[in-house]
Amino acid sequence: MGCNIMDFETRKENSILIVKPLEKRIDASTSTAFKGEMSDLISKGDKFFVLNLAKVEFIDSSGLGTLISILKTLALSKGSLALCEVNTPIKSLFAVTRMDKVFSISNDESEAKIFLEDWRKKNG
Amino acid sequence: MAEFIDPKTIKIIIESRLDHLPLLAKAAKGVCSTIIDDEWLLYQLELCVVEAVSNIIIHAYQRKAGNSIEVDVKLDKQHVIFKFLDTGLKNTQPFGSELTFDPTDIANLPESGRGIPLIYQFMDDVVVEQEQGKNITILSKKLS
Repeated sequence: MGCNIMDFETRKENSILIVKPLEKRIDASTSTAFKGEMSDLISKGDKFFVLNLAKVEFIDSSGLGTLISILKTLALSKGSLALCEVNTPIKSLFAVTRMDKVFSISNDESEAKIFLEDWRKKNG
Repeated sequence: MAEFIDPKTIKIIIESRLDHLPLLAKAAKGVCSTIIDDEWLLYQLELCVVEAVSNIIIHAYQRKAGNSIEVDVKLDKQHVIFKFLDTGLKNTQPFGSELTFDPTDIANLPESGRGIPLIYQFMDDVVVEQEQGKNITILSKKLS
C-alpha cells in the first residue's frame, strides 16, 4: 500500500545527478516509493541533485516532507538539492509553507545546475 | 451552516488505501472545477481533501485496508463543503497547531506535521466531531 515503484529519468552531468520523476503526484500515495528510490540513488555516492518537477502536478504535505528528508540526507554528506520546472500552484504551496526559503527553485535545469556549482564552490 | 443555492452534490466512498487517494482527489477536484476556474484555489481544495483522507487512513485506520471512507462534496457558486465520515480510531491529534521552524536550520527541519495546519490555512471552517461511533470532519470554504 503506497509502496509502488515510482518511475523517473536520471542522467549525470558534471557530477550533478538530474532526476526527473515521471509521476504526476508526490503525495501520500507515492511519497514512500519516491523516498526509497531517492535514498537508493543517494546511497550510490552522488551528492548534488537537480530534481526536475516538470511532470509533477501535485505535491501534498507528505511530498514536502519527503523533499525535506532528501535535502537533510544530502546535507549530511555536504551535498545539496535544487528544484526546477516547478508548476505555479506547487510554487504557491512552497511559498505558503515557507519551503521557498528552504529549497532553491530554478526555472530550468541549466539554472539549477549553476546554483549547485556555485553552492559547491562556496561550501566545498 | 451556509445556505446553498442550486447546489451540486456527490457522495464518494473509497477503501482506506493510500493508493486509492489519487482517484478520490481527482474526483473531488473534478466536481469543484465545474464551478471554480482558479487553478490555485482548485489546488488548495484538492490538497485539503488529500490531507483529510490521508489523516483518516494513517491515524484513524492505522494504515489498514478494507475500511470505508465516505466523502460528501457539496458546492454552489458561493460555498464548498467537504464532509468526511469514517469509523476508525478517534482523532486525538492537536488540530490546528502551527508548525514553526527555522528554514536555515536544515538538520532540524520537520518532515511531518504540515497537513492539518494547511487544512486550517486554506479552509474557512473546520469541524471535527463524533456521532454514533462515526468520526465526522467537515471542511467549509466561502468561494466569494
